[in-house]
Amino acid sequence: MPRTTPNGSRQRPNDPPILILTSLAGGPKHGHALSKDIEGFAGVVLGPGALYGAITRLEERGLIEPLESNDRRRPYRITATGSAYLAEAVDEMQRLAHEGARRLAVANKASIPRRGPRIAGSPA
Amino acid sequence: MRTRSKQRDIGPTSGSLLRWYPARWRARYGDEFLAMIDDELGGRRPEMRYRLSIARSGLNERLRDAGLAGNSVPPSEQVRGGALTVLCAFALFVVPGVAFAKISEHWDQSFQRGSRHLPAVSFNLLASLAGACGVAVALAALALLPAFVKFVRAGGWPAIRRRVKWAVIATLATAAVVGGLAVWASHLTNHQRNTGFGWYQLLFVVAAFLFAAAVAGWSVAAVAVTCRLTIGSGQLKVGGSLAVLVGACMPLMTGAAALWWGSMATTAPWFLAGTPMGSSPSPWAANLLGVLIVMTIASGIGMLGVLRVIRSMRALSMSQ
Repeated sequence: MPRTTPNGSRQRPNDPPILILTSLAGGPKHGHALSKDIEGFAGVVLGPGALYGAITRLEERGLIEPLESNDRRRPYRITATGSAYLAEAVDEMQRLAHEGARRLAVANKASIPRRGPRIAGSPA
Repeated sequence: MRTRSKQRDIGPTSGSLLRWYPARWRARYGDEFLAMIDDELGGRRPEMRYRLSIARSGLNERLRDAGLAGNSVPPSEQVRGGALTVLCAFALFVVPGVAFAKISEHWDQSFQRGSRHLPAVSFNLLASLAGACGVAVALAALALLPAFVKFVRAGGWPAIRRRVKWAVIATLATAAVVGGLAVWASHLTNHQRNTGFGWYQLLFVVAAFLFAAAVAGWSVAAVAVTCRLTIGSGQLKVGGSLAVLVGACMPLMTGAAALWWGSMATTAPWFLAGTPMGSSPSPWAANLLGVLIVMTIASGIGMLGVLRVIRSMRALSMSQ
């Protein structure tokens, strides 16, 4: 289970590596296209420094790989290891989301005040 | 290799942003990174925030490339990076250390009454630890000597010649100025040497700057040499252990210097202020405060290096 990011820190859904892997799960993209896609689906703006820092770490760990390109814009694609890593991360985040939602539901239920007996003639 | 037309695409601004990154990273990601910057900016000049963000990322990559952060390089490189951090911190520590030695000169002759026990204990502790650090650095250099000889024999000298040359020039200049000062001082009275600000004092400041430049020069040369050596795991462990020793000594020396100041402030404050024996001046001394601040900064950097060495040595022994 990927409890830590490729940088070694605690997993978070808005971590650049997770955002990049999620974006690349939809198909290969180069730096600028990745940045635009991530901004579109997550509302997170990744500058070139943060984006390429994460790309460097992901490539080192074999989670993504570069594709051949005649252009300066080199596209990347997610590897099988990267897909497995993302799947586990998504699974973990889903479990966390469900647990959070379940506990919130319990808390909301407990905080709803009980209605007392209705008095005849009083407004509903 | 980049074509001429591609080179024209890279503007001077985006090209300067790339300089924050290490050479190895630039060779691998430089072109596509600049392409992304060009796409984002579309010919506009980058804002300061944008530049700072790239500078921070570039420096982070430099730290990783030098083995000082992350796990991008093997544990052996991380040990080397941590040990070099300690070496640089120690070089920084040497400058206030020498200033402290000058400030505390003849301190034991300034007692009229009262106990000199605490100042003596703290001063001797500081001097002993400084000696131990000097021996540790010398031992580390000796341990790396065979690898250095092999490196020079393999034709590596031109790669480090320029840095060693500057260190030698700074050292010779320091020796010349300090020698001149010593001769001049022998013709001056104690009062002329220690009061006012004239040519003698100006030359003293020049000597201090030259000394700092010589220490910096040799540190840069040592880092340049050590980064290029092929070091065996045995030598690496010796170097790493000695670095831990030096790094651990620096906070102790800083504490000893603070203790000496505190004990002198209570028993012989006139020595710190340069007033007649028996007077009651303020124990605050700006020069000692400056010394302690730089010592504390150097100790902090040294401890970061120590932590890096310890963590990496653990990973190194697990990988073997």
